[in-house]
Amino acid sequence: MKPMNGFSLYLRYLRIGALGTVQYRMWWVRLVQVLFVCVTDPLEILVLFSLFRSIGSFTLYHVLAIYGLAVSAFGAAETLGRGFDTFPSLIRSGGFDRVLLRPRGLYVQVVAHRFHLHRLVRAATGLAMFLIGLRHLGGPVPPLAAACLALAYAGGVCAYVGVFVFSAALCFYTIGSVDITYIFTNGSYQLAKMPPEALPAWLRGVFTFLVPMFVFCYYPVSYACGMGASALSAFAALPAGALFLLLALCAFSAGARRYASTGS
Amino acid sequence: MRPAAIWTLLRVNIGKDMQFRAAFWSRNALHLFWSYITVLIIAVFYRLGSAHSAVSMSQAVAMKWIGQGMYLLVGGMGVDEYLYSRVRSGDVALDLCRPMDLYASMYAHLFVDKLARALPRAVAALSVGALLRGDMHLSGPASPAALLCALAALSTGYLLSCALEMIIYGLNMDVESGSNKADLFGVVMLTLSGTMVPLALFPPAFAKFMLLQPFAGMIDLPARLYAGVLPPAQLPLVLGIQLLWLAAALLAGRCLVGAGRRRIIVQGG
Repeated sequence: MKPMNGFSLYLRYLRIGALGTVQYRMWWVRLVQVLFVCVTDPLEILVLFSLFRSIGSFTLYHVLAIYGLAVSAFGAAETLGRGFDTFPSLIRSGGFDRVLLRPRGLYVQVVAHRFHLHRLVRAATGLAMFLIGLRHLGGPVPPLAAACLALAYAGGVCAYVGVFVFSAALCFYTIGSVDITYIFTNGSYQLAKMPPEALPAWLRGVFTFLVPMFVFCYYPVSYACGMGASALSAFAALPAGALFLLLALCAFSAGARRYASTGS
Repeated sequence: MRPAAIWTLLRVNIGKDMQFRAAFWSRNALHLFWSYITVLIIAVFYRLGSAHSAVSMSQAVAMKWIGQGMYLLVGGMGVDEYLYSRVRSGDVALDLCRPMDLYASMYAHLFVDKLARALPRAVAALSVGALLRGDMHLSGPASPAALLCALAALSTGYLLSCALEMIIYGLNMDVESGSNKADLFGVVMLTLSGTMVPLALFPPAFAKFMLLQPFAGMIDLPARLYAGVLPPAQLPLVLGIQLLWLAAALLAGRCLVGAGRRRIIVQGG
């Protein structure tokens, strides 16, 4: 029998993961939980905007569009790349040894070894916030701007998967999970709640040049809604995200090469 | 439980928290960064927007630092894996065999465990807040009396917070959903305890509800007393709200744990 190619293997893994989830009679409770988390996270900006109306030239809808884009890309990355996100448990249990023994690709096995259906809820809620924000900002978006936003979304997913891969690579050295990388996952989109100009320069620099979060959420929205960003900065999202992911994968394979078994 | 036992448990738990040094520092650094960002959000709104609020910027910033610094006292989100993992792995059978009051022993465990995790992080976050210069500085209490009232309310608030969390423990004694119910309850607790947004900043239509609901007593009301949003004369009101909810939560928690104990299925091995 001919072995499956990497992509159908990935899909097979996801299917098994999803079926495993729905084995629990009350599995849908998790969907509600994630929905709750996603809906209450932007609550603080809703409350603050009800108190302040606007911050500089920013209104609630600017924030919803930018923040929604970042959150949705993060949710999609969590859905598709959950295996890298939960990589510490694979290392600590010794499961990674088994992965290395199998005659199949390293990346596809790691990325797909966990799949959590409920992470889709975050992607969907983020998308809803993004669309609400966009609708109130400028009505119909011209095709070029829409293309720009779609590319930015793809770039965002790449970048966030890249963050997961980087923290997985770090795990080869630390064995334990490194909580500090949360700054670049769940912490990063907290910053999307504010206009970048209001941030201290070092913080803005880190989230533009180190982890390109503002590149894929702020500049594309700013360009599409005519807030002043240039086309060049807006279309940089996908290349930046892809480059980040590529670097992360290099780091991961460097880590995997020096890996010398752990766990029991 | 004797105070000496609590003290020993506290030391053991702080030691456990610090056992893996790198992980300990990374957790603390993350918490500091997170606190900084969330305070920054409030500060940015106050800097760039025009407020229509009775709460001044330094009061809002102080309440936010306190809420963030002590947010582990609130619990919820992923901090109460203890009982849940014991039920899932079957270890809970040991607890059931011991000839002691299950609710009381779980309460004591929770009380110490949360305190041990929260203390280092609260100290770190509040010191950074106090050391920061500029408009994100955590200013001192409104008056010496305000500080005393805040500490009194904080102590009662912590008892309340443990009692409320025991309700999650009771709910978690069955594992049908395959997930920790604390996650859902935890979001409600974090939101309504004022750690995300100080409750005094909510629109006036919500003011009465936000004052009287059970979760406000955990962190938000003590923080309001500290910042002077509530004058020290309001301490009896605050304590009254807290004690009322404490009694209700203890009762509900006991019923749930009792019911869970009758239904529980021991699994694993």
